[in-house]
Amino acid sequence: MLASTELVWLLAATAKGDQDAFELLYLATRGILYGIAMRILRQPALAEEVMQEAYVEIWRQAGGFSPRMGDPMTWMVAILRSAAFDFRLKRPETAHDQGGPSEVTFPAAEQLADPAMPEARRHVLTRLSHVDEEARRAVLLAYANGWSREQLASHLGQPVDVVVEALRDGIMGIRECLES
Amino acid sequence: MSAIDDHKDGLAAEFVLGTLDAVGRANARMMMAIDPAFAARIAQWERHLGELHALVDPVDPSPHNWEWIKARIAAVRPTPQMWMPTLNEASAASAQPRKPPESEVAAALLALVLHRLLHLLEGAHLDLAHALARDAEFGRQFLERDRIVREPARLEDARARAR
Repeated sequence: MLASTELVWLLAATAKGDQDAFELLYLATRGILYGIAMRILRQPALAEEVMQEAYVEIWRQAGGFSPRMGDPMTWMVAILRSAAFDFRLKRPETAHDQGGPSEVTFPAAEQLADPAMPEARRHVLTRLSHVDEEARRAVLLAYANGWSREQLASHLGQPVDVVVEALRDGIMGIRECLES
Repeated sequence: MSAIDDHKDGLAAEFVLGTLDAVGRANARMMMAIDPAFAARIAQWERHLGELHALVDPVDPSPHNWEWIKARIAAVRPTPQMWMPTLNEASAASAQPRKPPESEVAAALLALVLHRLLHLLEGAHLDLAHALARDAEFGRQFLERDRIVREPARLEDARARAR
């Protein structure tokens, strides 16, 4: 994985139409974007379609990225996730779960203390580590799998309003880091 | 809490998490279009929740994906809208040596100002470009140090590793 600064360089060159830079950007980030697309769409053919769309969008919008807006990787991830959600709503028949992993492992305290971890990530994860186990699980499952409230409820075996409440607790727990 | 209430903020976060149904998503999209504070909140949530991507295991897609993307982008020009650091950011970036991650960003900011300058010069549409010509050599030296884009071996290496 390239450092954030290098991704900024590659995005800047991409904005000027440099295809070699864009290829490097693709090679450095495709695993992350495809991994997320696979979690949300569960089928390789669909995940590939969405990932391809997302990269075309990244190519198109590269000039709109600014380091002021945050980390280049989270910027690209947001484009991918947005494409994945829109795709799933347009093609609801693709939303059936095809199996595969759904849980994510939350980092242990010593991993959170690792100086190599980007500050923004440590911040969010630390806040999440302080919310209730149930709220944290709801947020992580929702994020990692892109599940709707209903899918979350069915996975957790709980009523939808309980799940919505847990999500809100998790969100409000993270929120304080947005205030700073 | 700023100009946005808890309910709206929860909606913004759920939009980013992906838990909203089609109606909820459409509503959020509409609010983004008319309410800049809401749109800014979505961007903030994207920045923060986006960090959770690190908890999802990467999966390498098969190589044919790049061929398809390459074919698609050949027909699309990137939007020619380049961000530009403000004077404050640029001078803060060049003046203060800080801890490593920030100074890296600072170096990138400074270098990108110079990129932008060259972009302007290459375009040669503006009289301003002539006034700035004296700085061009300086900018070119920076470009030569741009090892990512200017070093063909680096791309070859990345391609080889991808196969």
